[in-house]
Amino acid sequence: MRVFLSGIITTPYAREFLSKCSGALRDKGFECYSPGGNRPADQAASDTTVQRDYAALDQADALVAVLDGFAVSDGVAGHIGTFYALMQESPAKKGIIGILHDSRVARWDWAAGARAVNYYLLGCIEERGRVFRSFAEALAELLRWDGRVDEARSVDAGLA
Amino acid sequence: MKLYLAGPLFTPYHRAFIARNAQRLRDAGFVCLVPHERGVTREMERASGRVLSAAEIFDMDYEMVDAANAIVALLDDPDVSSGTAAEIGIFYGLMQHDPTKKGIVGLLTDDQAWKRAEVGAPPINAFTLGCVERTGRVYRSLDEVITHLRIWRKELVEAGVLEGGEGRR
Repeated sequence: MRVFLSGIITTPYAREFLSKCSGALRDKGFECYSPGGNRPADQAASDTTVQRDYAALDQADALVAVLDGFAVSDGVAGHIGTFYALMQESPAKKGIIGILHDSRVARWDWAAGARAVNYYLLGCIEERGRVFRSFAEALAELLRWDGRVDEARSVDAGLA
Repeated sequence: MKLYLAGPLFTPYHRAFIARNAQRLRDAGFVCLVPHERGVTREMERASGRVLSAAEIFDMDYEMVDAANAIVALLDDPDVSSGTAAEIGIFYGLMQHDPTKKGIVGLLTDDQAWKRAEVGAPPINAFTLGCVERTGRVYRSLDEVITHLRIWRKELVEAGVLEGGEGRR
């Protein structure tokens, strides 16, 4: 299963977070494309960025989108919209999984969940997916989508 | 020398980055006031059922800003965090009448902001940038920030604001 991992890539610590997530996905046997992890820093021209990312979205079975920020990053929102459109033409695409940590949006205890995320983006996600509070929960959902229910239970058990 | 570490603390990776910076600054002998460290303790109170009000959060952070000799502000993300910008403004105001406050140094690691600077646009909001540049400077790495802070610490010791030993604690 091919996963496109989208998130903020402009700061070293956000890239480090995505890199750890990519590593964990690959450890579980997923093919993973992440813009920050796959693009050399000196090749960030707009035309090559859109060509490369669009090709990866087209080939991906699922999009995992990190929704952090007071507003979702414009780059992440672009990936969500593009993948949503591709989903309309490709029933085989599993869907979109959101990860939301940002306590300004979800609150510290995640009591608000994703309810304050932009409704257009939330609608794109919830057509075939949902938003989770951590990468581990998102990983468990991906495993379920991949038919690996026992492995998903194992990840869920680790969260309990 | 007391530093207030301002910055967005709303995701685990922001908090981890600020925590690593705090550790390095403490290793360099600075006292670090870090909002989310105190916030963890307060969150335990909240776990007992009481949610902190905005005014209580303000009081908690203002106390630390007021106690600091300098601010180290993380300026990353598409826009500087509104809380960080407010703290920069507060400190700029306080330091006009308080010689124990040396200034504000910004840490900006965001590639997108530096890209704006390369083409002649302000990397961050111009008012916020002005507050920093009137009193300190924006740097891309913590090493540069520490070098700047060491100069300020020396000046505070020479001015008698800090004891030699206190300046290094």
